[in-house]
Amino acid sequence: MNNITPYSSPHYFIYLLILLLPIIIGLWFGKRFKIYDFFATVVILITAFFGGNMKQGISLIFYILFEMVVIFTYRAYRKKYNNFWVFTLFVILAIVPLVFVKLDPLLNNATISLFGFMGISYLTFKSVEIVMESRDGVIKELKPFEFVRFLLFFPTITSGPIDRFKRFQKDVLNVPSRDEYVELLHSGVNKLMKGLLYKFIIGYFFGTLLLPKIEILTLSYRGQTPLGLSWALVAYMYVYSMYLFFDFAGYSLFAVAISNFMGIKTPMNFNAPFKSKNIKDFWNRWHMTLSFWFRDFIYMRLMFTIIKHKWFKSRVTIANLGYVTLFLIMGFWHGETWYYIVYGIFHALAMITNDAWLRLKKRHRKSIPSNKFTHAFAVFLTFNVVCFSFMIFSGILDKLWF
Amino acid sequence: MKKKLWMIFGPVIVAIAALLILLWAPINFKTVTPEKVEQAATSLDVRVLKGESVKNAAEKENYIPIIGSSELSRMDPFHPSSMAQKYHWKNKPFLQGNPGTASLTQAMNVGGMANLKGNKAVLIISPQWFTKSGVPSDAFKYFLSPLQLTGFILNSSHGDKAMNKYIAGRVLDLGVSKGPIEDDALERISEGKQITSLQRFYIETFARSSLQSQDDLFGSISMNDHQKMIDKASSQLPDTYDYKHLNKLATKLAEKHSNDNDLQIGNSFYKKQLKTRIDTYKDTHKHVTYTHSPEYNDFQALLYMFAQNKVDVMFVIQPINPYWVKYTGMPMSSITNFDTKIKYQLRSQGFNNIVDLSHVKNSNYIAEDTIHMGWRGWLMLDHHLKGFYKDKKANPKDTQYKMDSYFLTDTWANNTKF
Repeated sequence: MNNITPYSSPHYFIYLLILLLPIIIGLWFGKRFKIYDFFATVVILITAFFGGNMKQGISLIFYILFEMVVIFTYRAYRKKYNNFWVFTLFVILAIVPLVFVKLDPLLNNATISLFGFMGISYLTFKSVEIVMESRDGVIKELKPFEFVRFLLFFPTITSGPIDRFKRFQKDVLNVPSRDEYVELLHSGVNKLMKGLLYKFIIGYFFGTLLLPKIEILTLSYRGQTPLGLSWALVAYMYVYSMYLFFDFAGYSLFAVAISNFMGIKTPMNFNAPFKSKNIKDFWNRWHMTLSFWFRDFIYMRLMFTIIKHKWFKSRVTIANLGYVTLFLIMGFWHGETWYYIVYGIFHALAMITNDAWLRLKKRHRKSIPSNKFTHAFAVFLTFNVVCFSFMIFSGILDKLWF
Repeated sequence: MKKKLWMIFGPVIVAIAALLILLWAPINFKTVTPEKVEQAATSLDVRVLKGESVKNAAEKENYIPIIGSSELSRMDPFHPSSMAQKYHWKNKPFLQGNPGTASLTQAMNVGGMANLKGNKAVLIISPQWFTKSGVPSDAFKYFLSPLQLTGFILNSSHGDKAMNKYIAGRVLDLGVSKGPIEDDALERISEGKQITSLQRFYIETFARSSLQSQDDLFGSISMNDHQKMIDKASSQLPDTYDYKHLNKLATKLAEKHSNDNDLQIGNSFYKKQLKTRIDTYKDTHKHVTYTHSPEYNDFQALLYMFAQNKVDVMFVIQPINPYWVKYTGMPMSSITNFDTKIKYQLRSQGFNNIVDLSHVKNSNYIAEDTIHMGWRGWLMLDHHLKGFYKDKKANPKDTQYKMDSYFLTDTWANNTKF
């Protein structure tokens, strides 16, 4: 048997729903079957990671053990001391496996990524959150079993959404009332159906039917026009953007829907991102659990540190520095290729420009109009800026130029 | 509460029931009509290529497939479909091929045409298929039909073992993945094992029957329609068939349609694809060879499929525009060597009906653009087709093929001494 990527085919849902049935019946009667939950998790993990040569599965086990050592060692330390550099060291330790995996293609050496398995990024986000919140003292109690349950919550294991430990804990320790659960089922069914429409119909249309054709057309201009640019590239930009959104949003809807069936209110990942009126608004609507994670655990902390140590005075400089750091890290996280990094820088510049514009607008409140048309224009502009950034992100320029 | 639950799950249950009926109920959706078949014969829609029902219906009527690739869309007056219509050939061409289809795609396609058994077919070979790296994985995956793949898996219990092994392995190597059970079955076939009865049960009862229903339901709705193009093309032909006269007409029309360049390339193609960048092609094909390619093995798989179905095949070696050859600096030996090699593979196994258009006395206007036959090229082919299309059934004497699995090996793919 090969690995089965969760939610990748309509068949998957048939098996998944059969597996979920006992959990759903249990919750209907106000019960959580801890042992069955554990069993279902094991089944999903085996199908997802232990197919073929089991390499991914073994990596996953070692990864979990490694993170447990890091986190519980730090928590033991934190009970008595709170040194910044020790904290930094443990954050780095928690990230090391992910760094290895990300560096691997760059070094052209497949041996160092011992931890290569699908979804390692998302588990790392969760682990780092726990280290940071352990330092803050927000997570007071943490049992090894709870840690593993949080990390391996299977509906979200491969690609998020990224839940937070305390929020997750609140749901998992609680059994929803009959009425609440009916509401959850309702929301779950709706999201599941919407996800099917997004991923398997619209996403399929853009990604599987349209994209390959347009890509061939776009690449046919390679070396033929200046920089290989053509109208086909513009078409590619929009089609890729649509594909990216519908595929990922569809996937995220599945993850939330399945969580709902299990009585967990996993946060949503998308909120009509193409309606955004500016780039900041966009990041509050696009891959939200990721951008909120970056906001809470990188941006805010960096801001706080800079202000506390008075490294810079100007609020504008501080904010801009924060954007550059944040989006550069996001770029590197996506992968060590030039286009992911450029994508990061592009978004940092977009945020900086947006802030500058908002300040200008504030100063000239009377002379700059604000009405239905300016709003429509703002949405249109943001949409195009975003699609342009996704075109960079897609790597098509790499294929076109190098 | 009951009502609430029904409001939540009711629509889903109804939808699932409807889907199950549509996909698995043993209903024969009669969507393939003779009119549909006629449209499909020149439609070149990718669903026709990837499907089965339309082509199998066509095999019951008076159609003989022309299997090829991008040249099939060059629908000038001398295109076989146009000629067949004008001069009322008893059998009509059924076009199967798109830009990017090569031997392995066509092997799967032929494997899926159960009703081709004992009939005739035409195969147009493009030298450009036989590149060093062979068919690009993306192109193959794009044209791979899940329906034909399930058919191949189920048929793997009989037929030539070497071929089945080769195809299964090659399909996996090209990165095809159509579900865990299908992948495992292919893995087994590529190892020379029989598929398990569980795999057979699943693929037969669930996968294939649903794909068949999908093919029946959606395989021929709103297809591309080239009938008007064919009508327009054939209306330019004279009422009586006279080869010499047609030959002149072809030259005249081709001249008129390629007057903005001196490479005998059709104006519209030249303007769209070449004009601005023609210089970049100058002498770029100096080192092109078509003699080392995994495509030879794929081609062998296709031959096996023909042999298995006892198909009487006319092989056509497609010409390249001689002016283009000169412009790009391609050595004549590239084409000659290719010819020798492919003909050796064909003849030594008993495939003797070969129409070689790559070496003709007068090759003016033999191609419509750079590498696609047209005008006089089509006409020359039509001359051979005319006789071949008189009868749809294969002569059993002509289908006594002696297949040799040596042609499935790497050694053959890279061999130039024979």
